[in-house]
Amino acid sequence: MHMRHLPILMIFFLASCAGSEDVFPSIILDTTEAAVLLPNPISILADEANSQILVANSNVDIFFDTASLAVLNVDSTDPLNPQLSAAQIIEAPNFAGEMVSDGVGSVYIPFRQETFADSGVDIFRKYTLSAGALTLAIEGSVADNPFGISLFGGQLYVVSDDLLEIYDTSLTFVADVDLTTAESADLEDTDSEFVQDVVVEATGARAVISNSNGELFVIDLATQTLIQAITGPLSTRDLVLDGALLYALDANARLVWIFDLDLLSAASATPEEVDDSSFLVATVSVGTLPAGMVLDTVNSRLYVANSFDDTISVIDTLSYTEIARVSLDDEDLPVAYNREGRTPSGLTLGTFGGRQFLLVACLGSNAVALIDTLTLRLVELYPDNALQFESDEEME
Amino acid sequence: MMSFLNSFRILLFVFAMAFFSACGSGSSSGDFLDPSALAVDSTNDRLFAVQQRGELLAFEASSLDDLTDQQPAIADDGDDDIDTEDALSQALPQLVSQLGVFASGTTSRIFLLGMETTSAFEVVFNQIQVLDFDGTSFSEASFSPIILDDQNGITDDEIDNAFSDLVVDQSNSRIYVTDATAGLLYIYSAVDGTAVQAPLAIGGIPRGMSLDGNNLYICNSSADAAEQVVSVINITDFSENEINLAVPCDEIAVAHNDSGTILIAKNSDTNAVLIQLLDTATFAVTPLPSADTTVAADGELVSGSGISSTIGDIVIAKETDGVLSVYLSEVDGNVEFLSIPADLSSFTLTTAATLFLDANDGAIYLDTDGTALSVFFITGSGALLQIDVGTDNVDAHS
Repeated sequence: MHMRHLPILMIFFLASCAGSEDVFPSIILDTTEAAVLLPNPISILADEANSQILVANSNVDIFFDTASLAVLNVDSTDPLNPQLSAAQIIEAPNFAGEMVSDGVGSVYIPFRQETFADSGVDIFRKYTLSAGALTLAIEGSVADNPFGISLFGGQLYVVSDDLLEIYDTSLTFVADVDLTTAESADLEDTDSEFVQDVVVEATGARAVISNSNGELFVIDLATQTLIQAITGPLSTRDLVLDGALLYALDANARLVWIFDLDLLSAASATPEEVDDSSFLVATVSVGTLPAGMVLDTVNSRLYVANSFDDTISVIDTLSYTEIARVSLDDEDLPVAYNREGRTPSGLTLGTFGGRQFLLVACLGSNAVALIDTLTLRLVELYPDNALQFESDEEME
Repeated sequence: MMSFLNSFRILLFVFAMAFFSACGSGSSSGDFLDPSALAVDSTNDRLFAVQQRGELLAFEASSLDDLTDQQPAIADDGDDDIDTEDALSQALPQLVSQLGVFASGTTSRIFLLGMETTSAFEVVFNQIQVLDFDGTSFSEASFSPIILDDQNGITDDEIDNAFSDLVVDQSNSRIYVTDATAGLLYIYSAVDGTAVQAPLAIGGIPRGMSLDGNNLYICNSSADAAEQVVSVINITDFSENEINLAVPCDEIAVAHNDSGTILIAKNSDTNAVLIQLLDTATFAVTPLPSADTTVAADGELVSGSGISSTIGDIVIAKETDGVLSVYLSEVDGNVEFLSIPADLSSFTLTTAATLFLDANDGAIYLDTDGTALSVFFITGSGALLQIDVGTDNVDAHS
């Protein structure tokens, strides 16, 4: 069984419960800090223009019958001491994946929850984000078990079980790429059921797909075919692309792999296996079960969320060395909070009040953390309330 | 409600740890897990290792079989069940990126560079903590920590710089530190922590270093072609020469015998490894021939011919007869072994495979006459690799 498929079991469990609303409480949408609940935040977006952040709460622990999306205002009047407050929390399908924004008000989110109309497909939504408000714009569907999403050239690339799907920004299906062809060609370690994330080259020529249960895949977007499987990392999660440099997070090996796609030879057969060492630049050790990362190209820093250790690795991308590991455990926090930063998952960067912060979705403690990147000091953990979810109580 | 996700995560981790602990030929069990840096004090027969869980361990370098008897010497994680002294725990960086040791009589002086959090929860990178180990206990050196000042006039930028390497110069009682961000080389006394020399500007992005004789060789990983040189610092008069490699590099090892000098450098862009004869009069390099070009090309290891993954570290060990043994650790657990005869006429490549991923930082253990006996590599998957110099026999301690 794979961790990413736990939500599927949850769905079966939910479906088997007649009137699941009677089993699981309704999601709480109260925005007063004393009552705010962020069930399993998994991904996070910065909306600097509106001084706010958007948090996708996946509810993977099934605290409630549905999940939520939260718009959190960032008060940076004192940039050394930013304060979060909930502007709006709305109901959303369970098991959100990554989010992607077009930067001008539209946000796209795949959910690993089946649509009511068709049990074979999952929910895909487009939202409109404005100051203090998030509204549903379009609801569509996506293939089973989606997670990673990328926006390139006016098209959305979504990774689901065994598939890379392409949609337009109205969520209309455009095309898909069969990811099972490598396994069908008897290439080792190319099971594509647990693919995770996708990035697209700036030229639009190729996409790279991470695979939490096998090798990385390279897709020729012109022919929409899987052309290469990369040896080496066998449990990749988050991907970041900076020019030709590909950063791939390997959860089991606890490594960040850095590849130079310019050195990746053109495919001579379809599909073929490529030795990672032919275009590998470096690897950097990080903490246990790394789950998410974000790159700061201006300051040459890569931040990695180590979900098991409750830490953030800070990697210098000039020297490819881990230069810091910031703990989010309560005993290491500069001030006492009711929640700690447990199971950091999604990361992003945002500048508010002229100061840059690392924004952390803390899936295990149902909170959002802000870390000042100039000092690596945690400056806000939200919500700072004493409300206990059931899993919180178990973990105490 | 049961938290399935957290429970599964814990089970997965426990399973992974059990798997890694059980694998590996010639492994011995012991209290050795997740090493992140190591250093050897051959004079006093000691090996020091820092572990990811925040511990500094001391071993007898010659008898790692006794590893199960070892207990953590210092722990920084605040666990009450580990015997620690508070002051020493505070002195150990939370994340050690560089570790070096200097033999001062029967005392091992340990230099630890990494991330430190002050009592005010301020994070700093620019402090070298210095600990002394007398064979039974640790103490903090009176001059600890050494503060690395990049002299940019800004006093509150303690986390700006990334320090790439730390080398101990036993003969001259110094330590050298490269600063990739500021492009500097720092030189401090290992005896009292004072600056021997103002920081030297090193072209490009200074990375790995290697000390051989009177020369300190420093890699540069700059994208600027003009800066793709190895800087050679004369450690007596601090004059500088350059070796034009024409590629950026981040790891380097240099050693000489009566026949000449060998330079091994890793290309930081392509991961290829250059194997060169170095003329120390002109600083010109020429490729060292391969004894079997079907296995490896002359003067170079590339993907598929000597390289199977990214190179972690390069170590050169010199034997009494002048034979040089070069070991390169790789992230896939392989250790590449280059044997270079005393006449430096060629190199022969063999590969030793291990089951321990992320083999990286290496160190040499010398006997009393300076002959290399063992090479050690740490691995990110929780084992210490030990190789008898001159062979490709790898023993794994986990």
